[in-house]
Amino acid sequence: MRRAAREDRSVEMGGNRPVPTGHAHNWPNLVFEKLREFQVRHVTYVPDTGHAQLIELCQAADGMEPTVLTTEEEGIGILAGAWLGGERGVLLMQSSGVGNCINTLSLSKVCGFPLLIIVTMRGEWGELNPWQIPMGQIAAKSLQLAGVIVYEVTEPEAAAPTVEAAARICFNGGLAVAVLLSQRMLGTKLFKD
Amino acid sequence: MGEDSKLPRRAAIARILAERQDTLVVTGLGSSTYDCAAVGDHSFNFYLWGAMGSAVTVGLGLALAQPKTARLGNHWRRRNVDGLGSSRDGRCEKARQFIDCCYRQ
Repeated sequence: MRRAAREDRSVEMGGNRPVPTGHAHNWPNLVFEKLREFQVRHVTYVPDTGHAQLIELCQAADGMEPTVLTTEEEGIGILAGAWLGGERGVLLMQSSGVGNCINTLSLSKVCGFPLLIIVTMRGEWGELNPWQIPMGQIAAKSLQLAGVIVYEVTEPEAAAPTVEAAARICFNGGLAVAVLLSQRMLGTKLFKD
Repeated sequence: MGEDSKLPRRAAIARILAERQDTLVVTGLGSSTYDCAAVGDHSFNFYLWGAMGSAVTVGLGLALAQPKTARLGNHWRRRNVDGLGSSRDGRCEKARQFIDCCYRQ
């Protein structure tokens, strides 16, 4: 996985190799390319299988600043500080972390700071783990109640265009925007192994 | 706690900030915000008045984005020990100084 991420650095460098398009499993590369396009430097994340490939691409990228979090709301503070310092970032997390963020979302809302969030969904589509379901079922509504614009993605081909739209409205409008990546595109964890 | 043992916060903060130079200040919500504002507003102050626990992480974000600029910590660190955990990976000297400052307070 790590090796694959390093080999894909051509994407982040502007790329001598063409980026394959329209491939269902290629969405992390295409999302990564969008983050570079929008000059996203700070990548705050809680480790997560759904985001693993995107995280590895960001870790391997020159000029990106990944910060692993112990709880999701820390990312909101770090990205607020980075914005005050003149730089952009993204928060990567799983839907179970949405609830942790609710009060801290007031920081970006009150100050009008842009906040770009990409959420991998759990407890939403054929979930096996009952503990993931309560938060997964209310993640989108909770974000919306907290003033976050929510874009939901169910097809892998739509991930990068949606992140692009989210980044544009986020950084141009000084708004909090979350892209929710459905289990329909990520695949549902079945714990068969 | 007797009156004699109380820290005169306003005076203490005023004295600390008198030597701030280009120090960036992020306050925790509540008293540290009031104390710093009472000294007089400054364009390098960022006041939290909510989002409890975010002073450390906002400071870390600033440290990562502007590593050449000095900074000063907050005194809500006990709320956000995890935030210090996220920030304590030693990538950035100024971030370390910032955290040291948090610990010393």
